Amino acid sequence: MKPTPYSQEGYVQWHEEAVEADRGLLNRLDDFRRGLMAEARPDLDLLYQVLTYMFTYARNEYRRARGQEASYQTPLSEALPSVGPSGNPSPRYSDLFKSAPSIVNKMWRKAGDEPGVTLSDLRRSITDLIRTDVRTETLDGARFLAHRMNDLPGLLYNQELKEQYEGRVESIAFEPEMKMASGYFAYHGLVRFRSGSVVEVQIYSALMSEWRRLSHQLYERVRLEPVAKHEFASPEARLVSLGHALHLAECEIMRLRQEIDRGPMQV
Amino acid sequence: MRYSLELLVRGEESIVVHYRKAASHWREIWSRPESGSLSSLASLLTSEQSWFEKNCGGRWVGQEVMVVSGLVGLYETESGFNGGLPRARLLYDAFQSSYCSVEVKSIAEEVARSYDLLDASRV
Repeated sequence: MKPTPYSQEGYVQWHEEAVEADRGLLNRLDDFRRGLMAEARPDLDLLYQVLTYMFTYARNEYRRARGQEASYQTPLSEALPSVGPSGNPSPRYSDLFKSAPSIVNKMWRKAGDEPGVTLSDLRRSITDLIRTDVRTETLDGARFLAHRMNDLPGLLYNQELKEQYEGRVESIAFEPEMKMASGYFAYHGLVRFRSGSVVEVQIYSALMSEWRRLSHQLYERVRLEPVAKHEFASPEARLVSLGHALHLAECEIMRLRQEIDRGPMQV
Repeated sequence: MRYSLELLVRGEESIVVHYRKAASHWREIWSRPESGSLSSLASLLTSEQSWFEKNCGGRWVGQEVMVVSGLVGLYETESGFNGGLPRARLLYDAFQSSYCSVEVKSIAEEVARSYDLLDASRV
């Protein structure tokens, strides 16, 4: 049985005893991550090109359809540009890659009587080794973009970009992410590249962005898995409730907008 | 806008020359029929990036000069974007939907934010 409660040291020791081929786990995870950072760069550049294209497409269509603005921002805009004439990557580039301690923590969560994830199947078993996000004003704006991302490559009217996409992207799939037990609501996408890289993209609203910030402060990461036991009025419990309250508010905003757009209600 | 500011603070006169050339080139770009629509302007920008890199201080400075001179060229402190707002938005969108480098797109994002170009209240 995996060591519980979690400690990195305890898990690594247990894992290495169970999977001899994974000895030196932490160092090898660091090497793996460095390799991934180098290898995934062209795919991330393409993803940024596709996203910025789609942001423009969605923003203009949203204005026509809803009569209001939706803007989209991704940290890729700061993580990808080279820093200076040396061409060095931005210090924020490494933020896109799950850290070795986070990978170990995830391995622990996926373990049962035996390790569930080993070094040999890391890429297949953990789909958020590379992750980024898109922030927009409202849940409706997030949904609008997510639906159009699923229409790719059909909406890419830039021929060069479309050819790059078709040559390098194997599949793309966005769906609603509703973590009822943690109080997190967003859109979640996986972009699978032919190179083998998989990039997770979360699209969320400004309100959920604040929720993520609080979650990150509370757990030192954005925690989406349920908490086993809650106490009344604890920050953990209130964070879950807050997530639901925010989601309810976003749904109500959407509903009110639809009603107002339809005109005054007939009594 | 970091390269431009750094060169200005150092008193490098070359940066002024780069911006003057860029402003003139933008006038020429805006006079072309392709500058009127999003997709054709985006294609135009993709091909024009190399002109700015070659004529406005090299790869890194040139990319920045391209974006800043293009967008800020439509802005005046006294009146803001004023009548130039639709064109500024078109240019921002064209940068983002072009096949220009990630650096160019990133700078366009930075300038748009600094100048409130994407302010949601300006529908």
